[in-house]
Amino acid sequence: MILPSLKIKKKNRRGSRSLAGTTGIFLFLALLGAFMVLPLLYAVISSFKPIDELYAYPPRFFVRRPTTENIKMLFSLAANLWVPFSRYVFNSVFVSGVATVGHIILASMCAFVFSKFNLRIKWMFKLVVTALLFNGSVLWLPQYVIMAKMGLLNTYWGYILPVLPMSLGLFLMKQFMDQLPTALIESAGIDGASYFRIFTTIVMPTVKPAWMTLLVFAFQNVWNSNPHGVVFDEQLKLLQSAISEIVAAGIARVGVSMAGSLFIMIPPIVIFVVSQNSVIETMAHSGLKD
Amino acid sequence: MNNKNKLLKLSYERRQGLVGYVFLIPWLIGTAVFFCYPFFHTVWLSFCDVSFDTGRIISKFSGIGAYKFVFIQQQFLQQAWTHLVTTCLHTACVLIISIFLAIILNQEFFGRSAWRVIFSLPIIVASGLVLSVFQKDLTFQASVTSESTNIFQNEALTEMLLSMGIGDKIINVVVTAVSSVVDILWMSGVQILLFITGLQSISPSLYEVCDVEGATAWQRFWKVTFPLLTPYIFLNIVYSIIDISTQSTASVMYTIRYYYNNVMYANSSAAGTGYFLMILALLGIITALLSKRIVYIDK
Repeated sequence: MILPSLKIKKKNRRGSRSLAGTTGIFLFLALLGAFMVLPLLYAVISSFKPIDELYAYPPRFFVRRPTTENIKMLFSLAANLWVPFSRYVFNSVFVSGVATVGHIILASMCAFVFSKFNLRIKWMFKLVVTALLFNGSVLWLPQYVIMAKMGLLNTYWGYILPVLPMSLGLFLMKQFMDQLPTALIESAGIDGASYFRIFTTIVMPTVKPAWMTLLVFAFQNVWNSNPHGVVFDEQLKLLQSAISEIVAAGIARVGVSMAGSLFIMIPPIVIFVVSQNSVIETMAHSGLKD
Repeated sequence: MNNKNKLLKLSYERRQGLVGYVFLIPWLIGTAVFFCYPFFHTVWLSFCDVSFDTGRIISKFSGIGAYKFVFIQQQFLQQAWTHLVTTCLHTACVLIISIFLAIILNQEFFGRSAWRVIFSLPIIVASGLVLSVFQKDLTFQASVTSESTNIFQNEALTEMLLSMGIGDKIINVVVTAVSSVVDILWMSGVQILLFITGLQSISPSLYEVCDVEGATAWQRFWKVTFPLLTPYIFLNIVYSIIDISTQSTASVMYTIRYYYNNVMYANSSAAGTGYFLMILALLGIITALLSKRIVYIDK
């Protein structure tokens, strides 16, 4: 008897919207979504356009005679590079992977302390926000100087180390951890769990949505960055710089550059889809009860 | 008893302190090396005459000359102020649009995850090489086809509003708003995602209580959803202000880069430091206004 009535209630809560309302939401989303998708769609379509259609006047949105020439050219250009293309891919994946994971771990540890510990240096969190807004372009010169002094030029560390203490992640994680009931942590402490254990088995699983979201930000941030003036060795350069060199060869390569930019967008999109699917999963059994 | 408690508490605190510092040390070192030192160096350079010798930088103290030059003579102050006002307006728009979209995208309907990907595209696209390729191509197209781009300049909209007998000023506002909707949508990817994460963290049992008590959807939003979203609203305000005020396409950033690229390090440092202080002041005011109004479920 109870079960059907519960079901009806749940159905009512979610399904109370009228058909017109649902249609309205769909239209609204479609209208706004068009602004998001059109540039991307344009890039996809353009990467299949032959050169005469790319420069056609007036320009057409759709392609008349699709060709895979641009993509072939991207691969043949990539194959003819002095350093093998796979090397750039490896560099990018390695640097982005290490920097993202390291950043998430460091940021979470600090956020845990800033959010749940009673320390005298809590005011330092203000420094975090301050660091967040000081723009990189002004800091290039001193950062270069200090990296040269530390011998980080021409190493992977030159890419990775400056990313690790980025304050965006710390700021995000702290805001999410502030939401976590202190009672949860205290009860684990009373049961005899060490802080490290509380951190790994209670805090991190509970704020999984937060660091899954941070994963998206951090990864795309590192993946899309193209730090110049830190690494000069071609063997250690990133995919971004390889593709922008291919693209930079002139306006005749508009199609190739479209194909290249699409190629570069694939990993962030994959990471996004994976992480966001798990965000929805974790919230269902996050183990928090009020 | 009391004494014993005090002792216990002390050792607990000390233990907590020790672990806390161990957790903090890696980040502290990183920040000191990659932020604090470069930051103070930059501030120092902004008060100096900077010149170069083989293998080293010579900086000689010269007072606030660079600030005077940049902010007053070159009217950087005005530029920065204008951009900060724009930042505030855009932040407000971004917040409203992203809350709205996040609430819609948080509901259950067909193709929800596909919509989420679509509205998060700006996060993936809006930086790095991809964006520069888009911009390069779009400006190229615009220069070739200057006539066809006029379609998007809202002339039709302007004429329609004029024929309705609406004043010039209002028309300007409306037209600007419409053309910046696209801009604002492209700025709000991160914010939408943060709000969705925030909405997901609201306990479903609170909504059940609302149902049991017979609250309307309107009450449910203002009494449950909105208060519990306030931490995320604050987070998004700070994020948006920083993100929008330091956009690399802004004219302010262009000026700073211009000085940097033309080896005028003192000017670049002065402009950067001054602008930074202005953003900091803005954030300070906002934090002071809002910090009392944030609702934490814990307290």
